[in-house]
Amino acid sequence: MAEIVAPRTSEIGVGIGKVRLLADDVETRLGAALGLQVPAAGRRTSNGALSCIRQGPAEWLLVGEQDLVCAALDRVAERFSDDVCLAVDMSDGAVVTNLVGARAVERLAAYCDLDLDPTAFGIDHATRTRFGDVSVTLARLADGDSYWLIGDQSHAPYIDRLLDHGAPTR
Amino acid sequence: MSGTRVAGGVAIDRSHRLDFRWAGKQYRGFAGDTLASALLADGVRLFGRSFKYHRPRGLIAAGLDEPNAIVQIERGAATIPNLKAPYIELYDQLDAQPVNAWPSLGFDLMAVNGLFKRFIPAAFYYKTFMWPNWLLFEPLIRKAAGLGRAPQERDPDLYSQTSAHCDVLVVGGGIAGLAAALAAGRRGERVILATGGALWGGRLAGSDQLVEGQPATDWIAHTLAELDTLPNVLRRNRMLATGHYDQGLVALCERMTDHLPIDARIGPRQRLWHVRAGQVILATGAFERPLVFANNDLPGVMLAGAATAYLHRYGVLVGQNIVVATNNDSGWHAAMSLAQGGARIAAIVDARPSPATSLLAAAEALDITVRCGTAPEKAVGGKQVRAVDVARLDAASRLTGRTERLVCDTLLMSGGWNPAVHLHSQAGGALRLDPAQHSFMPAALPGSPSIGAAAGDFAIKTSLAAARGTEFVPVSTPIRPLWSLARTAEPDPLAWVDFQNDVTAADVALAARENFRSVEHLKRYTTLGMASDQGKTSNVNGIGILSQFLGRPMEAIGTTRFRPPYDPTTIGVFAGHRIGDGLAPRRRLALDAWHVAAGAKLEEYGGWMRPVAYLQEGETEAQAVAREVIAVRTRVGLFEASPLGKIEVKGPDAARFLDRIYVNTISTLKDGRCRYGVMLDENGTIFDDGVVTRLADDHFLVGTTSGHASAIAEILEEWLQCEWVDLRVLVQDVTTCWAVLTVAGPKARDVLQTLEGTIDWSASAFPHMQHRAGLIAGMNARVARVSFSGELSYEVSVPWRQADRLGERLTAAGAVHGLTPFGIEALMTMRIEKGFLHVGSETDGTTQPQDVGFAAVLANKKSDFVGRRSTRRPDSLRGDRRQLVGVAVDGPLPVEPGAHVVTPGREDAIGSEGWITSSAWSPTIGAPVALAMVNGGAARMGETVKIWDLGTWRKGRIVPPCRYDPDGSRLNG
Repeated sequence: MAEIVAPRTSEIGVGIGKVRLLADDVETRLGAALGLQVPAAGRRTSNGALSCIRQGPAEWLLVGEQDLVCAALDRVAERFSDDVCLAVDMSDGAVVTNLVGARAVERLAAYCDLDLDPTAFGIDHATRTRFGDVSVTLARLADGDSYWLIGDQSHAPYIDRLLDHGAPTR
Repeated sequence: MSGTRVAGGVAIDRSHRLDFRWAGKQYRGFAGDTLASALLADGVRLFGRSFKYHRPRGLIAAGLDEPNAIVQIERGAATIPNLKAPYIELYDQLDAQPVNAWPSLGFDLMAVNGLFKRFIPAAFYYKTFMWPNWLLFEPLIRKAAGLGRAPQERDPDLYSQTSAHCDVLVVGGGIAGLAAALAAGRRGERVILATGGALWGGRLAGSDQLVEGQPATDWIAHTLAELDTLPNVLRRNRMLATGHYDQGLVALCERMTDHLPIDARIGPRQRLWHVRAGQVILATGAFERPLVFANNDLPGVMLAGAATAYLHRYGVLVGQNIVVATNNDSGWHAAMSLAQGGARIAAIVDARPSPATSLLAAAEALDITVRCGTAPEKAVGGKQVRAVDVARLDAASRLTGRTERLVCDTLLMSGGWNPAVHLHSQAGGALRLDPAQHSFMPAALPGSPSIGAAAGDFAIKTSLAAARGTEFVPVSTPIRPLWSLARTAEPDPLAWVDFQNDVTAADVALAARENFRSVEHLKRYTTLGMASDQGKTSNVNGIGILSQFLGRPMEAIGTTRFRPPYDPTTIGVFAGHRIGDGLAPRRRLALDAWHVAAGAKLEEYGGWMRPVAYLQEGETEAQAVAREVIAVRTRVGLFEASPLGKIEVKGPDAARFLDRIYVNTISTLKDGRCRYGVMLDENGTIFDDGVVTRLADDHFLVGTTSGHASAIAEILEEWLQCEWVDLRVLVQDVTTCWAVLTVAGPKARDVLQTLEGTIDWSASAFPHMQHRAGLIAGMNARVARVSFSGELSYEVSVPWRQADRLGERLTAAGAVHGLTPFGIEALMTMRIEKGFLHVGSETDGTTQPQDVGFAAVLANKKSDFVGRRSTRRPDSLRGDRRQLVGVAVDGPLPVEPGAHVVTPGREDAIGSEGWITSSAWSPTIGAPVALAMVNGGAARMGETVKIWDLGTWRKGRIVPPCRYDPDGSRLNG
């Protein structure tokens, strides 16, 4: 099998943070707080250590080592302390599965109705979508054949089950 | 027998023999054969017995339009009923059996039905079995009806699903489909090309007919080779488009392993594709129409196009001495091909008085007898055709004059062609009647053109032009319509229209006489077109006969509605992964392994696998529940409440926002305090309840019922994003970030106080309905002192991954106090004792807050909130609405939830005064306890009632809902 399902966040210490903001000049200030360029709609950006996914208007997901994520959340909370800010460590509540390999896209297509062709969902594209019957955030990483599937941790056994069930055969 | 293997056959590999069984006998075929072709080659004529009259039936078609050769393959769990023999690819050791024949195919006792045919016409059961009661007859009729046998064991196969997107989806692998795919592929578009069968090339597969100067077989091979060089083209055979929906969505079923020997099958058997295409090109071909005359169902009477398909694809000659009856040119072409293949063509019988001279000349060159202006009147034979009686047609297409008997072993028929408009029509495409071909043609459908035979274009040149997007005008050669061949206006009672459902032309006429004149009524009354072939060979003939009988044009009658699936599709492939544990996501608690180790019996509640009770050695579930309740009431218990919804709501307008969401006033809540609240929908119906905690002036934690967290979070988002965009509030569901362990019972404080930390657990410092955040055993914790059991109770939340640590510390600290894990059933028993509301048990789609004890809260609320207006409708203000009460039930056993409650003396009256909503045995009280919603219940305290409990009357008394510690001293302790 060409693809690999990587260990989960809880096992490798990857952190997930959620940032929601109602503030002026939010992208510039958030970018400064995170040390990266804030992504446009449907995109992911990264400074190497920390990734930021835009999940919706004024809504971002941070992915990285948990310490880095928590530190970033603290910086965001501080910088936006006079604004409406919800910066929450979701590391315990979310799980990242890393799908790698030329046929990873087949596994995804089995349960996700998105158009995953590189012309439609290219490198650093990221979006909320459905995987089977659960909500996930999907991001395509820099090397093109690598994806993050970020879902609720309580759905991890279900996601694993689907990934096994949809194994490509030809 | 008649069928033989001859030269040719593009599909088969003569170097690879396959052994298989049919009806208990051993046969041999070649790789590439279908079950039908291999049996035909071996001379088999009899393939099945008809559905109703058990008449002997043979093959008619060469594809999924086959109505007769319905078979069952394999045995045990692997058995599959009602497959079409021409659509079953042969594999080694295939085991196939006929259906609907007992004791054997050759001698079927139920064929006696045919003797009584005149007494059991279409819809006879509607008339015959009404007295005294249809239900008396139904089991017998159901047993006698039906074709194959459903497997009794669990399906051992795996089915998968996938999705794909493309610019162009081409449905159909004939030359039009191939050309369209190649044209789009050359343009660089993303193309998916799918054909349902194993072979490419459609009607021309294996044919030596010229296509753009090349033999068709070469043209097909070259086109496939070029398609395979294009990385932007995905082509799949054995992938049948079954449904065409809005916005270019097409469902296709790919048969991945059905063609392989059973022990060579690996992976999913079938895969369901959801393809979303910018353009869907329908190159689905056409179906040939049978002719409707007496005994046209005799084995050996076949469609002419099917005979050429068997010859070209599999090298099988369907007969040695063949008569071809037709009303169009294609029958002649079939006759020529078969003559070249080695058959003797006894005669060509054409309904048209003057076929083209080129056809006549070709027949003469081959010394074929021709009868023009003539049609078959009757097929002659017992279990297979031996001759056909033909007669002249008059101007009204009635048979007339003397009968001529033509001896033959095979009668081929062609009544014209019906474009396969199913997918076009499913997507909403209109149909028009072609006056020359007497067929329904697809009218223009934006984004989904039909091309080739699917558009009624049977010429290679124009089909290819259409496939390549060139404007063209198809030339339609007129045919002579032949709907029901008889000497009078009355159709022959043995002229079959729907072979699979045993519907005759006389049945159609009967329906029309009985005023079932709409085509939809005709279909349901006669079952025409309702079999598993879905009328592919019968529908248009049925419409033609109805038109003839009613004297109304076919276009005025129209077609029945085309609905997916196009061909029967396995339920397994629709289910895909959604079987067993994959039916829905099953979520596990943070301490799942601990619960199991402690003896928990797990069941699903709102998607979460939760402990029902912890069964000890030799204990029944009821005993375990009673033990757990007593432990909590007298000592201390531990319960995992992690699924309780937790939604952070933050912002300067958060309090105002929650005031609008809850029936209760939230803005008056002080920091660190909790308040129980009820949410309504716009109809004033109770939607959810839970505890709201004010973490800070602008920051709340909204508690929801288990399993409802994400739905509530989405509703809060919806109000903020769509209605109250001016409110500066943010919402985030954090349910699964925090594990929750509830410590409940009079010793709860004693247990928690032993854990080192920063929280002062004393009653004065931490009263009921308050919240504290701090450290417990080094863990960040949020603690709410709230109670659903009625005892002193703390809900302790820690980060999910630290739940194990907290569990260990609590069980260690609680051991000295007899800390007992308790499950859902113990909790439910205790909340019924307390009379606490459970949304979904006490409430339904009509329950408003005033019905369950919140009338005062409603009246006192100053500001507006969701659902308020609906709680003030006249119906909402009725005093006799169903209201929450307790019921003290006489006797030692609880009543069943749902048991109806009535006033004594009104046991025989129609109607109910309410019902039991929750019920349990209370080990605390030593009696059954129950909650009920009863008409005007609040004013009926002390009233005796009767309860209809699973067939017996029980006696009870209406009492206040709370049966335990009504002043709350225990939970406030």
